[in-house]
Amino acid sequence: MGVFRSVVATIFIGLLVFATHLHAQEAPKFANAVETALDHVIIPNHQAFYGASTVNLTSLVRLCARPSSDHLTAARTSFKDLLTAWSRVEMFRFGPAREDNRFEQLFYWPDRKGRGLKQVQRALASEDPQFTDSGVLAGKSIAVKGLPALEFVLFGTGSDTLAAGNPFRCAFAEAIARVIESNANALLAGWNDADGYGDLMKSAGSDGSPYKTHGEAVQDLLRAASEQLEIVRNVKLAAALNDTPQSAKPKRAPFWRSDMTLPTVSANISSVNHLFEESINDLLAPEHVRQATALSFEIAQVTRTMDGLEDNWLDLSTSTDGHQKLSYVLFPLNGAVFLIREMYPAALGLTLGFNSLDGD
Amino acid sequence: MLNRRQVLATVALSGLPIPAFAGAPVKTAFISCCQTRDGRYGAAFISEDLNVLDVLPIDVRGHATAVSPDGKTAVVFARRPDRLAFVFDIETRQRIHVFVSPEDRHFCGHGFFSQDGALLFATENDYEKETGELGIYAVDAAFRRIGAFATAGIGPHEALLLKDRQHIAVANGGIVTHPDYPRQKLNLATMKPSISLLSAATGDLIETVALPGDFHQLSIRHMAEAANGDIWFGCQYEGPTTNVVPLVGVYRPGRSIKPIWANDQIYRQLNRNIGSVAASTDGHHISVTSPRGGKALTWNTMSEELVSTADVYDVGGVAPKGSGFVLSAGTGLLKDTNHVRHHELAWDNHLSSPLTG
Repeated sequence: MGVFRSVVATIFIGLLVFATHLHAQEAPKFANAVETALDHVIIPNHQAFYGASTVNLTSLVRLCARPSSDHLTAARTSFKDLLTAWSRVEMFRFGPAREDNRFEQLFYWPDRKGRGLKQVQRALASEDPQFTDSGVLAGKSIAVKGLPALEFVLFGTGSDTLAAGNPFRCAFAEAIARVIESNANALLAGWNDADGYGDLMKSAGSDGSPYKTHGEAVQDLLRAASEQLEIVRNVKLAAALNDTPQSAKPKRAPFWRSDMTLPTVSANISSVNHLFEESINDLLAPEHVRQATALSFEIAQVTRTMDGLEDNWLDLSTSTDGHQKLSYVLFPLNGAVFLIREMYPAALGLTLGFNSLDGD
Repeated sequence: MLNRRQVLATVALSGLPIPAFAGAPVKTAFISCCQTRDGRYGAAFISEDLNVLDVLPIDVRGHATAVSPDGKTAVVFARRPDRLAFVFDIETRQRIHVFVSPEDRHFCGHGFFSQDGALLFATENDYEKETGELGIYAVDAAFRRIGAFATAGIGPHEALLLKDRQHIAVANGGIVTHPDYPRQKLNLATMKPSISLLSAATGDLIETVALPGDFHQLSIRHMAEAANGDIWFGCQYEGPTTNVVPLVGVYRPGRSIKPIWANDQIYRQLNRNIGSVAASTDGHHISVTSPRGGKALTWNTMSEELVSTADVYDVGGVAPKGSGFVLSAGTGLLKDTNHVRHHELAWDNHLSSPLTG
């Protein structure tokens, strides 16, 4: 399978580079795909993310008003739900996600030198009331007001004191949750409002739209999907797993403190699958439908393996059996990336040029 | 004449019909990195009339080429984050050496020779310290690295030895990257691109200038020097997709840095991306290419007016030729005012010229 894939890849790279610039036929099909992607995937997923942020904030307000183990558990659970909801919109890191650095405000990661973590720890140690006022906090560094910051406050060292009452820590958590809710709301509005980015995608070709054609908007969706899977594969998993259980560095992966590394990765992958099933696959001509089958097969391989994992991320990634299974996942992920990066654009006549793809 | 080995190499690499040559050897007028139709990478030697003389293999995707002052040696740098550089004898069209950056650094794709040709400077990323450097390599010592100048910025990309031979300008793109996170941009919210002016003799920092804060997400990447000493630069924009910002600017060493405004519609069409910048032979015009916008634009450097635009799909390389420019594109197109040729190669971002330096 692997050999076959690499042979196909080699042949295809040649074909792609030399493919004549195919002016995608602006049949209504691209416009329909953009509309479906927005109405069935992007906007509902952002609505769900905003909803989860509201629930999370409510649970933190309750915890801070009446600290208890049950309320801490509820707050932690709602945060995990929030992470899952976030992971279903994470792939859409263009458009409204680039306004005001909203993506980084919500998800400052990778935090390569632990700079963000140090800022959160300093904030906790300072007990400075600026960090408990969401209005002031919103103007502070992106590292202290997003999901990784809230994860540390709720799950990091000293977080169990929240059950018994730790007013500053809880108020800091509540303030972060408010900023997250505000950003989730802004993100949703950015996609959903009249004249928002969703409308700009739908009105490709009009004066105000950044897209000359609906085909370009579909190219952005394909790019978002392949980037998400590459980030999952190369940055979240491979960089943490390394070659052996002994050399694994599981704390490089996001959300290990809440043991949400694998659930968030699964949500990333299922959101890509959702986009293709709801929108992109409908664009394939009958002779290319097998690509949808191939993508579905690769993603099913990943999902089946991950669903069978029972231990937590830190134990799995450093045990022989767990490491082996997680490393296996990298192969079908590679296949899925190849399909989305190379095969789908070629099948749809949306191949980007050699230099346009490069970005240097 | 091409010898048999060269002909076979070219045929093997590109599957191209080889142009017939007769009489005196044809001189290399341009060098560009490329990808062959079977997906391999090469450095191509191109004649004045835009025929391909040779395609020599390189192990990884190349980016830009530095040409020695005597026009005899070319160094092709790997595209970031690779660590390889390939040395070619331009006259014999032979690959004569390969060298690597230090382990904790990678090349950023650009470099230049010192005035006397004894040293090669290469933009490098010290990714652990998150600082930029100009690595200094001794040409006569098999390109051994003998030192470095700090670029006073993050993510250096193109660097130029200015015409006064006393100063170096470096475009610090401002974006933190690390090989552990392949091609991830790690600091988009806080990036601070700049241009640094260094003493060519000592590496001392003379000044670092940045665009106003509103433009902090304009990554300054490519540059060319005009006849009047102005340095024109091209950017890639990392800010909100809906913003339309000037992607071209001018730096006047010791005086000012400013964006060059054009019709919003022009910059919107460039799709947030400039790929190459070159000055005309007389230095009175600057041409920039936008691969993602499929456009090449030319400005008059005195009036700062946009004087021409051309639609060229996936255009990347641009180099001066006569009173105009040569353009190359990922489709295999090479064109100037007299020639339009389609080669079965994908031309990479940059074209360099041994004849014009």
